[in-house]
Amino acid sequence: MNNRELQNQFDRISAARLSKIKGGVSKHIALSNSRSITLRNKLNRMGLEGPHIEAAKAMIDEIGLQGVLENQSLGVRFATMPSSKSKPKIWKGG
Amino acid sequence: MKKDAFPPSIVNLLLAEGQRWKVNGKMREALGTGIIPITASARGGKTSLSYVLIDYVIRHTNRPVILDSFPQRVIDEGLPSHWEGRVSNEKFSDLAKINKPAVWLLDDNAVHYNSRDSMTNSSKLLARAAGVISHFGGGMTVIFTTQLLSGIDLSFLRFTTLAPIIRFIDPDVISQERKEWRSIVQEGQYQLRRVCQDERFRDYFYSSKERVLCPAPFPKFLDKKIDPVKADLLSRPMRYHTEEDRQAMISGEVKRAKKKKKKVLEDE
Repeated sequence: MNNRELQNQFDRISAARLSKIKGGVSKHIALSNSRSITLRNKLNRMGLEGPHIEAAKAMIDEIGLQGVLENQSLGVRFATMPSSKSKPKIWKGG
Repeated sequence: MKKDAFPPSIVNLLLAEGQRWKVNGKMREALGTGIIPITASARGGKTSLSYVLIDYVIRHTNRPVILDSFPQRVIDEGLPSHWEGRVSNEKFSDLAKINKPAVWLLDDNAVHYNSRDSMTNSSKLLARAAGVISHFGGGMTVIFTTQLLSGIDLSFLRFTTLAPIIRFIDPDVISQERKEWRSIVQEGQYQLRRVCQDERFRDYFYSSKERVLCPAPFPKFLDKKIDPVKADLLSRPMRYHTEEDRQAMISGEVKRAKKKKKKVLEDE
């Protein structure tokens, strides 16, 4: 096993354990970046609330998530899109 | 049972050559020859599904059915009444003597045609048979049950049209499956797990040709509540061989004994 494979394996183990600490961490901490956390914290300290603030937080998270995803392969990025689970194919006669 | 009760790859081999049936609104002619391997772990419904397929053949065709090496008692006492006159008991080695488009059932063949016996007489026979079943008797079909395809000599599966059926396989055993088949067997287990209520997935089977699940009816003649004696005769036919025959099946003594005898004759 080469270094890259070992690193990938270690990443998977770390991610699996990280998500189990106290029930796991939220998406913006796990997959976004530190600026997302800082800006969220700033908005909270300012005591701002409401749908427009939630929308701003969502945008901050999305920018951070996209920053992470832009270094990933097309396949990984595609797999993060929401999709409905396909129904099992059952033969019902011709 | 409707004529299109099973996916096309299976009906294609069960109906006689040239018989027509409807697929996606269009009429299609059956090939009528090939091999249907049914793979499942013990008590996974291999034998009962093979009887369902034979029942289909009896209801929808006039093809004769041959149960390979079945004990005579099972033929005499265990068959449902509507099968009478259609089913016989022959050895697969007598394939060349049958001049009809028969449907053969080779049940639990890991014992007879094991890959470890490669190029023994029975495996040689199978390897040769695979190439000619489409010629003999106007085209024959073989329904073949086994616990894993890795136990079967590959020659048998190389030279003809296949319509593989996958049922429950013990998760600890899947890693022992042939690498060519392993991924499709795993996919089959995943698909079966999605729909089956029965813990051994006996309510559906997976047709690997069409990648589709198919409901697996349980025939009334196998219901122990209706006729426990007949049901047992059919569900565990090999149990009704004589002890000597059972021993010979496991040890391969029959083959060895024949070889020895031949050698002695040659020496004389």
